[in-house]
Amino acid sequence: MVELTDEKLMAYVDGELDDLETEEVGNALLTNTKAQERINIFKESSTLLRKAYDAPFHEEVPQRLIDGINNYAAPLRLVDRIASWFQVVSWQPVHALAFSMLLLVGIGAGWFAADFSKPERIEYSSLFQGEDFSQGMETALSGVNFNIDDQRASVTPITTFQDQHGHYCRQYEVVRRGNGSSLSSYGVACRTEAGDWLTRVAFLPKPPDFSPGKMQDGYVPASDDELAATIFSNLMAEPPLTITQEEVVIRGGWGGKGEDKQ
Amino acid sequence: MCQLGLVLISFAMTCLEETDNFRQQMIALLPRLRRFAYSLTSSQADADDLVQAACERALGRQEQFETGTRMDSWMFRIIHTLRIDAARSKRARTSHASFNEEYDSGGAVDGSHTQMEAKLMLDNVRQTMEQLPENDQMVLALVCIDGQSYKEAAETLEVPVGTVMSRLARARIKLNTLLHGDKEMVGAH
Repeated sequence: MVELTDEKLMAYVDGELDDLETEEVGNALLTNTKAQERINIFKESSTLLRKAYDAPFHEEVPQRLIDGINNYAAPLRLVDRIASWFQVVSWQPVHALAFSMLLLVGIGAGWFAADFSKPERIEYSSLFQGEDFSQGMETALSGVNFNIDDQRASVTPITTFQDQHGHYCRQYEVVRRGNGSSLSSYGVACRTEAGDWLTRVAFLPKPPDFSPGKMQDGYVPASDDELAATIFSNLMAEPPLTITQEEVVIRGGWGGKGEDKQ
Repeated sequence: MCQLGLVLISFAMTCLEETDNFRQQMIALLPRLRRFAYSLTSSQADADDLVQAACERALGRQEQFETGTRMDSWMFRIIHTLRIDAARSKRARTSHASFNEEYDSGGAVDGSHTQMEAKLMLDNVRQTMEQLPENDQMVLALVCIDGQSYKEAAETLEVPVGTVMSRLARARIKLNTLLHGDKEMVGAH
C-alpha cells in the first residue's frame, strides 16, 4: 500500500512521479477522501499563483529594462580592462600619457628591491609591494578590488597571465584617494616562488617637479615606445587566463596552470 | 609584438561577442524575470526596479557567469538575494498596483460580479503570498509560477530535491490555510 504523504501527493499533481508511482497514487486516491482534498489544495495553489502573477510574462517588456541592459557600461568590466591592456600593448595611448605618466621598469628582481631612496619610489612604494599587496594579489579575482596603504588606495587585478619563464603575473590598477581626488596607476606584478608579488612595470602619475634631467635608470617617460614594447613582449608569453582558469589557479595556490585553459 | 597584438585583439573580439550574447540572453529572459520578481514583491514598480538592479549586478559580474550553465537560475538567485537585502534594509511595501487589470480579471473589466470576485481572489492571493517567509515565496515562485521541475528548482536554490519538496508542500498548504482559514490540516496517510 503506497504511503500518501503530502510530498507524494504534491508530486503526483505536479507530474513529478514515474509511471508506476502515478498509477499507485491514482488507485489509492479512489478510496481516500482526505487525500483527494489534499490533491485539490495542491492543484488550487498552482492555479491561483499562476493566475495572480502571470501577467508580466504576457506583457510587453518596458523599454527601459531593455535599454538598461543594452546600454550598461560597467566601470570595472573585465573586457574593458583587457581593452585598456591592448591599448598599452599597441602603445597608442602611451603618447597621450607621455606628459602625465612615467613608466617605471625593473625586470628581474623587482625594481623596488633595488633602491628606495629615490623620491618617486618612496612615494609609490607602499602601493606596489608589501604584505597587503601580496596577499591581495594572491587571493583576489580579476575585477575584484582590495585595499592597501591603510585603506587609502584600492588595487584591482585586471588580468592574469604567465611570463615566458612560467611565472604568474597580474596586470592591475591602483586608485589612490586623497585630498578629494583620486589618481590611477597601472602596473604588472609577478609572483615569486615564495608567494610574494613584486611589481615589474608600472605607469605612475608624473610627479609635478619631474624633469627629463631627473631621469634615473629604472624609470623612463612613458613615451619610450621601443623599450616599453620590449618589456611587455618579454612579460606576456600568452593570452590572459579566463576567470575560470584564474579561479582554479588561485584555489590551487598558484601551483599550476588553469585546468580548462582554452 | 605584432603577433601578440593580433592574439590579444582576437581575444578582445571574442570577449565582445560573448558580451553581446550574454545581453541578448538576458533580454530574452526578461518576461520570466519580471514575473518572478513580481511574485516576490507583489508590486509592479518594485518588481521592475528589482529586475533592473539584478540585470545591472549580473552585467557587472558577467565574468562570474559560467558559460554553459543556466542563466535563468543565476538571475533568479541574484533577484532573490537583492530582494532579501532590500527587505532587510527596508520593510516598506507600498502600492500593490496590479500589472494588468484586464489580465487579472480574466477579460475586459466590465465590473461583473464573477469577474470582481476573481479579481478579489487574486488580490487576496498576492496579499497572502506576501505574508509567507522568503524561502516559501521563492520555492512557490520557481515551481508553481515559473513552472520549474523540482530538480531545476533545487539547482536554482542550491538545495537537495527533498528539501524543495518538503518546503514546497508546506508552503502550498500554508497558502491554502491563509486563504481559506484554518481547516483540518492532518495528513492524508
